Amino acid sequence: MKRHKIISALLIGAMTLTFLTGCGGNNDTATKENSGSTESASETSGTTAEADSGNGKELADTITLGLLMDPESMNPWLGAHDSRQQLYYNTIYEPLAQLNVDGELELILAKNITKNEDGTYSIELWDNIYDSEGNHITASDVAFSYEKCAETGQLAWGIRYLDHFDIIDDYNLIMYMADESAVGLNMVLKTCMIVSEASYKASPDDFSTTPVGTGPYILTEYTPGSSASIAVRDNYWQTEESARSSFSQVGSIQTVNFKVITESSQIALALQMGEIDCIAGNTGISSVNLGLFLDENRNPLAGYNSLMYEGSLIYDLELNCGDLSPLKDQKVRQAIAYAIDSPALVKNIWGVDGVACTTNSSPYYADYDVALDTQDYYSYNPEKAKELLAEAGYANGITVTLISQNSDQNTQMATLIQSYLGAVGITVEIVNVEPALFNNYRSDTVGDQWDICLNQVMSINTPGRFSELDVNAYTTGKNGLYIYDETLQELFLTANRAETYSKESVTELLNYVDEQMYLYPLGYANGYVITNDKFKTIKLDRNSALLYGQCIVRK
Amino acid sequence: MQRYIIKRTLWLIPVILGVAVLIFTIMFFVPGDPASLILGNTATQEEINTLRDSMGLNDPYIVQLGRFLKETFLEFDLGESYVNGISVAESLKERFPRTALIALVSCLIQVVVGIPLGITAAVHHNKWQDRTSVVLAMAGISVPNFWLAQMMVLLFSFKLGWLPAFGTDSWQSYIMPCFCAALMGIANELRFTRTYMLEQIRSDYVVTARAKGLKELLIRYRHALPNTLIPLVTGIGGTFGAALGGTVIIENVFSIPGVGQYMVNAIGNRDYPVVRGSVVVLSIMFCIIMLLVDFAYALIDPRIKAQYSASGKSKRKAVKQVG
Repeated sequence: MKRHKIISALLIGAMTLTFLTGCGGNNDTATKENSGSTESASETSGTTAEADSGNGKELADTITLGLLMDPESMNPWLGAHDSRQQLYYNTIYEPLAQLNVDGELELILAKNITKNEDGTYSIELWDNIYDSEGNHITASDVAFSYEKCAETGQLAWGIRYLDHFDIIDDYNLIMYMADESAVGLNMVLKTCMIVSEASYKASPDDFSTTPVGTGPYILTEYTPGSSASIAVRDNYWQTEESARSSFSQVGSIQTVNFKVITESSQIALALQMGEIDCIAGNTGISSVNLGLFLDENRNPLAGYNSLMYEGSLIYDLELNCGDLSPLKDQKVRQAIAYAIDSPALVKNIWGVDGVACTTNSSPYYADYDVALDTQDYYSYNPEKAKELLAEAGYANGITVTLISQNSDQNTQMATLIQSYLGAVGITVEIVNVEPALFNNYRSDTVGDQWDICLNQVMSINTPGRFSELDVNAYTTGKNGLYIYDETLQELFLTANRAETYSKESVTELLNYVDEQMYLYPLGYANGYVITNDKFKTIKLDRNSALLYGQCIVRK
Repeated sequence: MQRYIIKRTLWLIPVILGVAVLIFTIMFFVPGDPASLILGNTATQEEINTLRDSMGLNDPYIVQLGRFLKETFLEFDLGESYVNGISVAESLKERFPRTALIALVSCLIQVVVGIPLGITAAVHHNKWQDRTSVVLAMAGISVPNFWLAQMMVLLFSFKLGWLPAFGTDSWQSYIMPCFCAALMGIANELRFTRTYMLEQIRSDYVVTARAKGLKELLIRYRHALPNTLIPLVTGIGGTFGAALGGTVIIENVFSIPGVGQYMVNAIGNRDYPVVRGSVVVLSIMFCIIMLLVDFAYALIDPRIKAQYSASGKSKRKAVKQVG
């Protein structure tokens, strides 16, 4: 018996020792003085020279980035995600034009774009575009690239607004739009990367591991799932510095190495150990791990630098307005809005990084109106929620189904919403499903699978954010919320159409959606790019991808 | 014996076909649409249908099954990933060696460490060596391997800087993953070896051998151990086969792009060609491993070899007699 106790004690001691060994060490960085600088994304332009004092150190020409997701392929027309944006958008490949941080279109491969009276667009290309294999890019390559992009199908959300191209000559073409949407032009121009038809056909694997593009970098090494490297090419076609866009990647960084580290805590460790210089990408590290690099006010700790960017993903509640749901009553929907304390919810989920929405728009959108964000918007009022429910005939309460994707964050959010609504008499049954199943539930045509859908939406402008309200996007005669509202449809089309897109039409649409409470916006989380202190200036593009050519990195 | 080998090899065909049909059917009926996952939730129904058409997903079950079986077994084409368009065969060819290396090395560690510890425990039954081994075995089985992986990274990479924390840049990158993968196997091998050895060392033939004055080492390793090998070899074969597809957690923690991670991501993305292709390849590997285990029985135990040979001869004799 005594021997058993001794052995048990030894075992417990060994495990405790191992546990403590693993837990030590991190506190050192938390106690050091904060010496990094913080910039917000809106301050990036024009601060380059002032932020860097040099201290006599040379500029570094190589950096190493950690990627949380494997790009899987270098094909330019696969679904967009952070790693691909970081690795080959605007580096290896280039589009005709791109949106800058202010949401304005900047030309890259296109020299000129003019709108014609008939609604088409005349595009003139630069006549000196050559890819890294020396192939000359002409108008037929542009048409070819869009064709292949459409064939792949994964970027349909971006190029659905395009009908076809007519080629005029080697450097001129006419673009016909299929849609009059206000976002159409921007989406079509920025989504498709342009490649040479000859290069693509010569590739043994459709550019999966051997990409050839017009960008200033070329791929020098790629091990799928593990690592990649890109390096500046000597023969980049755009030699006119003044013609380069604000996200030109040409600068002091000559080589960028990428390491794929799929585990969030591992990538944080890699930065701490100096294995990587930067954690890049929108999906970033969790807010728990952010504490290793940022203090409670989100200033970088000693040895690190950071840049905050505004979140582009709004979390919202989509409310089923169909006949099969109790939420068909406007009063019930408004009751839900009053019952949820979204600032408290957002703070609970994201802490200081969260921003509660008071409108169905976001600072990330080009047409964001700050005046709308300061309005009184369904402030937390559970008593009013109960009144509205009683007026709707549900004084004794109702039961609703809430669906969400099964991430930790979504689960936590759904649970909080459940408790808020439970306090006013709305019993919520949560259905947490994996992303593949979520889309099945979400796109069910009958309308009896869910009453509330916790979803995330990304857009480049406000009308684009309301795609599920458009009846034309569905085949059932009703929109994604199972309703046909003529007023809503008219307001949406007016705000969404290029000719009638204006601050007034967008405001009218927003006000109507808020009044009817079709969608209840919860909030979004700001993100951070974290680097070591070799980075003196960090610059990002609109997708929060690092602009290597414009960062200042010292050795 | 040759007939036995041929017969067992031919049995692989219906087994693998059965696995292929089963995995196809499961993936067919599992809810979730790869096209809408790829296009995102802003895609219209028309766009989703167009993509589904191009993937062949709108065809009836039997047509899709026929196409899959024809491409896989007649054309030896495992298809291309829906997500990235890369050939499944190429991806597996790239990833499989990494997973196989972890599986193989971890199995070797299990054998080299677990079996001698088990023998020691059995031979020193109820003494401190036995008790220590039992405690170690319990610890090995109880410790979650993802926790162990994280702790090892913190200690050996972060604190001591001896080993790389992730990736596959060098052979040192495989040390921690192999050890983490081996730990539970060591514990199992230790326990099973101890159990079977205890049975053997109490047998009459061992008592006789001792009475005859044979050295203890000879008794343990030459006489007792071979009689415990059959269940051990079965266990090792099963462990190796499972490790080929099941080191997902290790691969994730150490960022090793192997087969496990590939399959799990594909399941989440409903990337049917990847899941089906990977399962078919792994099932072939597993069948071959089990076949080799069966052959190993014949090598270890001459009675089994005689049985294999005798079954062939007796059938021929029966046929002759009837004829």
